[in-house]
Amino acid sequence: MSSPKLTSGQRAVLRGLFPGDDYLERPEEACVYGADASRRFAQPWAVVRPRSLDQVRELLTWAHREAVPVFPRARGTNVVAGCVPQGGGVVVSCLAMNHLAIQEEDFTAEVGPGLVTGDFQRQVQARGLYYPPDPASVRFSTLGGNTATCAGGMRAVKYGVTRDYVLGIEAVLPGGEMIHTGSRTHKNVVGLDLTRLLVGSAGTLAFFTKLTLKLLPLPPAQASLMAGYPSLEAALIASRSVFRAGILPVAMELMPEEVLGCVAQAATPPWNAATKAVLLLKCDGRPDGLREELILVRRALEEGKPVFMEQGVDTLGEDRLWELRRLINPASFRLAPDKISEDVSLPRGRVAKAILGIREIAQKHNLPILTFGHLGDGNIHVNIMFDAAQEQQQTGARQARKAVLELVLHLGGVLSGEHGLGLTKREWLHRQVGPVERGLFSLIKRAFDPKGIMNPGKAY
Amino acid sequence: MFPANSAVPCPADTEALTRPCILCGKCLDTCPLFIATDREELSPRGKSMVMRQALEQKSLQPCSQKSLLNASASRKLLGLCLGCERCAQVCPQGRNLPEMLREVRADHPGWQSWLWRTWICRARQLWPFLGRCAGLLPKDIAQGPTEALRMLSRPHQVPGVFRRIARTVEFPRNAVLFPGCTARFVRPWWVDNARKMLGLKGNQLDRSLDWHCCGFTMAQAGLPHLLREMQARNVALWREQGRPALVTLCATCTKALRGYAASSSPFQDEEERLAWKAAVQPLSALLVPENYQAVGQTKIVYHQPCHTTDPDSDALFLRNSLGPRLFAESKNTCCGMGGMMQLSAPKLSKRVAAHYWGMVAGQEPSIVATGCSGCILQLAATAPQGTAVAHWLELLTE
Repeated sequence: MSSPKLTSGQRAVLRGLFPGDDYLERPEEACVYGADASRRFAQPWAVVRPRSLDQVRELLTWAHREAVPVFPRARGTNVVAGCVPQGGGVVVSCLAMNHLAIQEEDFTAEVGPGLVTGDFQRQVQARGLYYPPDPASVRFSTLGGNTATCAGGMRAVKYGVTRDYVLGIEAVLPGGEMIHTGSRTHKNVVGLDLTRLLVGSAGTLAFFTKLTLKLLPLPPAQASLMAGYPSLEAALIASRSVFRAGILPVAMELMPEEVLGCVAQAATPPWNAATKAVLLLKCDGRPDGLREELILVRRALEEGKPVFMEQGVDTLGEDRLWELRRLINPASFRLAPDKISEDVSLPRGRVAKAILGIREIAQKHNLPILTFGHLGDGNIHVNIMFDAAQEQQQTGARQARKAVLELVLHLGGVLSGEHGLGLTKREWLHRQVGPVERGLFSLIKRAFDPKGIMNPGKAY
Repeated sequence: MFPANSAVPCPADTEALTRPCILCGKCLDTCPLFIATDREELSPRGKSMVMRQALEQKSLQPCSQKSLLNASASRKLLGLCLGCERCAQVCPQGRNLPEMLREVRADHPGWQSWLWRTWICRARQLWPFLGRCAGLLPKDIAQGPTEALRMLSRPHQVPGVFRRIARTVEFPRNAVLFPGCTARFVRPWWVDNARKMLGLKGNQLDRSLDWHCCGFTMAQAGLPHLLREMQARNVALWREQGRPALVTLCATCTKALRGYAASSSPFQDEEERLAWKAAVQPLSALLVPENYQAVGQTKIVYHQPCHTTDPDSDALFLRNSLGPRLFAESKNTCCGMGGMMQLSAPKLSKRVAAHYWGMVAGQEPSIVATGCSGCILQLAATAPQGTAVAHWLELLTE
């Protein structure tokens, strides 16, 4: 069966531009490109797989001329339907554009958008260099996707997010024109900062073809600590003690009681029923400095009177601890088949209030709500679990979500710290961003993409 | 301006017995077929999507009229799986997609299954014949496999890298060899080497029994009836022999034979089922590394077959007897054999092999050793010049 929304002439153009397997239109082949980790789906009209810059330029020249929507995609791990081709259009898979060139002396790397972040990290680390951003999907998501969404991750406390590591972007605009933002320098204040504008733009402004990323020297030593506490309050006391001791850990994650039970269904964790909250910290640095830091961190963590503490000093030991954190998202589906996933961000001092408030919302609606995440930077993930087959639960989940987002805004927080608004949360934009600012968003979008063909309907 | 095509929640595969795919994408990084091609439609997630849609629309039924998906194209896509089961190891939902695909194939047997079945069932006549006559067969029948078989049936010319120095015999009482099809029909010298590896003088190991194929490929091809038939015959023969230990030479045979115990049907009772489970032993698990001495300087890369059972006794034996001369390959290094894919998509199978050799290239091995007949078949047919592929048994020298 052919794609229904493109004319035969349009299909012929695409087929000519993307020979062989690089053009797909059969529904069975194209359908996976219509979904992402949000579990939303819209069948694409066609899928193309560019391998060169020229192909991207020709595609965007054609798409602009024909006003055909274009949906950039890499590994499709977005959880707010940022990759779903709602309204129909051509999905562009960047996976074949995965080149890598490292400029060791500049502490930079130039990469294709389809390069997997974890592979990139391994390759730079082999040369003693470091690319810190590490979203939970680091092993299977790409740098293009991470840049389009300004992915955060666990190390954001000390090292910041993707935006802090993108020095420059080569991109193609609708119409085929190319832009080069930023440079290979680590400092640059010339003109408006288009690079920072493009990072997090969710594929709505331009098609990335090359990213220039900043690298750091690889810290020679690192270690992780996991501490379990008899109450949430005790864990929060311990976390405050760490910062008060003058330490900025690489990462500080919190897993409250609800999450611990859920992960225990999918793995064999070090905690038991007496553990009501777990803190997971990572520190790095020179070996001597790290040793001293770990002593201080342990002392600070002990202020919350932990029921257990485990330390991972080698890669395997650390990975064992962090795998438990990575398991939360997949393990959550053991509680219920459906999920509303929010990743709100709060001023750090308001996190405790938010978690307790969300717990009340869960009780009120009688639904499991998992709150967990990056305590160190105030970015908290909220997973409302429900069974969509039961109407009452579905309604309850929607109401609970509304209550959570309202609570977060009331506490001075923001709707999303990492995932973005995509498709599933876009209707909330006006609750956080004012009309004048939204007007500016529209003007900027029009300046880049006058016909609105780039990932239309997403984010803002 | 744009016609409506609203995003809707993905259809839930409520009829499936396993938990549904949550499209998280974890499987992408493990699938050798996806890694070698960058084609998401070939990934486990891609096939899960087709299955989900098919379940909603019943479109895998050939008679479906209103389906969006084309039944025959969907079945073809679902057939493109190497069966390595790496995705099953990382799936947070505990899904074993290759297993589910086998069931789909079992419901829709096609000519590929038939051809493969013919191939295996007539192995005694066909394999050596094809090895000699591959060049005479029409190209469009099975260019990939015939090429592989031609390589496979060549006499081995690998330099020996270890020698047995012990005079003891490591042979359990009441044990018998399950040689597997390759050793029986194409590389009979494996049996002789197995005897020497154990320090045996006579042919106590090989009683020239008429074993059937282990059945692994039958299961993959979606031929459960044939698999059950082979299981029943092999178990009956083992019973006749007094339930001896079953010594295997091939990792896939080991996995398949141990897998018999997952079903109760071939066994008389629970005690017999457990006895079978304990009886299947890879040859390498019986060997004592101290009884072997490394010879020469040849660099060896060990290829770990996808179907290796845990612990990998082949790797342990080689590591302990060869020490630093043995190099392990990096992870996710499937050779791309993929059983039925040899017939359905030999080009894709070759692309995975090319990716494999690309990854191994940095190690510049002169020998790639493994313990799986299927891997040897595939690797021998695709190896770059100057690299030999061998069963590790063939590395024994006098």
